[in-house]
Amino acid sequence: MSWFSQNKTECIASMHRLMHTPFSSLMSISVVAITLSLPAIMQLMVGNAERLGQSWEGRPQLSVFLAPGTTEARGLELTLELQAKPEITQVEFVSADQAMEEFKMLSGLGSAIELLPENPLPASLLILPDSNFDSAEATTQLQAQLRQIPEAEEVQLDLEWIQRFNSMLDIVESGAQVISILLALAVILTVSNMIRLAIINRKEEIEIIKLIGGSDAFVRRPFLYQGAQIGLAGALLASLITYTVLLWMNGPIGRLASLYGSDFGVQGLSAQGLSWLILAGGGLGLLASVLSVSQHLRDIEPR
Amino acid sequence: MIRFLNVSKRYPGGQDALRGIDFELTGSDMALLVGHSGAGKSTLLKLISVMERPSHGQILIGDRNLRTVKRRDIAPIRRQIGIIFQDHKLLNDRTVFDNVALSLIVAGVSYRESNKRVRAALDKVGLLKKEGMMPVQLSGGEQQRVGIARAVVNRPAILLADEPTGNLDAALSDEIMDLFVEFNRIGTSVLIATHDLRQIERLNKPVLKLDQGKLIKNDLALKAPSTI
Repeated sequence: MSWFSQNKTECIASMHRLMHTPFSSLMSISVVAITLSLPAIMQLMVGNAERLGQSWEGRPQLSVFLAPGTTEARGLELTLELQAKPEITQVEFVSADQAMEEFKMLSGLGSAIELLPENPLPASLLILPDSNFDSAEATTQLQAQLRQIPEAEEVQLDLEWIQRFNSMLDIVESGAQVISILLALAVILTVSNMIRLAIINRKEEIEIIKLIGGSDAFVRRPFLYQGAQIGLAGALLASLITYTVLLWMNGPIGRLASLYGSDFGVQGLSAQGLSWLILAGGGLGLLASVLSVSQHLRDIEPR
Repeated sequence: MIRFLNVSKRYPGGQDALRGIDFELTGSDMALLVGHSGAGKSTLLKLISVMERPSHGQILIGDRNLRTVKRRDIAPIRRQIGIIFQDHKLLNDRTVFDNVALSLIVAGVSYRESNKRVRAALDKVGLLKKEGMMPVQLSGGEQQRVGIARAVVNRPAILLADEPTGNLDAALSDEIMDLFVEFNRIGTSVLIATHDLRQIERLNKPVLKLDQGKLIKNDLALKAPSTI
């Protein structure tokens, strides 16, 4: 019999064996699936948050605070002037009075502010760069350009909080990586223990096969298949769990995003992500059974 | 085929199971290994099937020295040896056919070829009609014959049997032993451990008699002293 057809036979026989005890097989596979789905969900969340961060990062805003005493007419003039620049999509002039109104409303201090002898807030220009000029470099350049305006007292680039968000995300991401590694270890331990039990259950059969001349490789093969199959089935179930969790969370997240005027939707597992998950499941299962088999199969010798 | 040269076996406990055993079983021999239980019969068979290694001396099968054979070379040696056990050692979750086919599967024989050979072996032991049954559905004698079919299906050069008639009545024992005689006639060397005096007399074959680990009767003495 060729190596290939022998392997095919073993692969099918191993699947039959798993299906022969459907309940306990399903339990084992579910344990692996849950363990695999946790890192998958974490990765997805980090990935989606990154996407959210990027979508914000794409729309930086510049605020040009004008020197006190700049007239409203001059402000509007500057607005028109800047509007003509190709780098700029939109300019909004906020007069000192408007800023005051807004501040009153948002701060809730209301009448307390009216006690101030004069309006301490400057007029400002809110500038949205054109989408072709919204790279970090282009915006910094634009910032320098805007500083040349004689009335400009200060030009602020509203990127800082996004940078903060991103660096927080980095921490979460590396935490997720550590947890993923621990969970991968958990998968290996779980599967290798299952294989150990399978080996013990089939001890007599292994002895007989060795007695009639079955090589170590022959005896090993069904257990390697079993480990890989548990891992693969676990990964498939994990992708289903991940999908369900995302469906569940998509509603609330969508509502939250719409409150911020965004049509952001949660993105599920990509084809690439799915293949990684399946590869990881099969690979970890196989690795686990290799470890278990190398430890326990040698001990079983016919007596 | 099999040569024992001054072979001793001492188990870790310190008891000597075999002491200074010399004999040679050639390709056409059929011999009976006799002696009380505890005399060392099983140990001798275990040494041939490489379940145990000798403490002293050399055991040769063909040109392989079993004392020094590497772990990965054990399986090919066992494929040249058909072993029959008193307790049959069948896989109870597989059919008669699958039990016999296992010998060919581990040897990598193709499906078509193995189907033919399994049926031929089952026919030989008279169990062709029961190929689809499970071992527990068979009588003790039938189970023993499945074990024999499994041992001979791969056409081994050597057949070893450990008390193959241990649990069988006289008529069944005769049947089983006659099967071994037949296999021997077509060129398989056969070594049977038994304490069935009736069979020893009836078969009239060379005898190796063990007593407390020593050969006290040896019809298979070495023909020529070896240099090994």
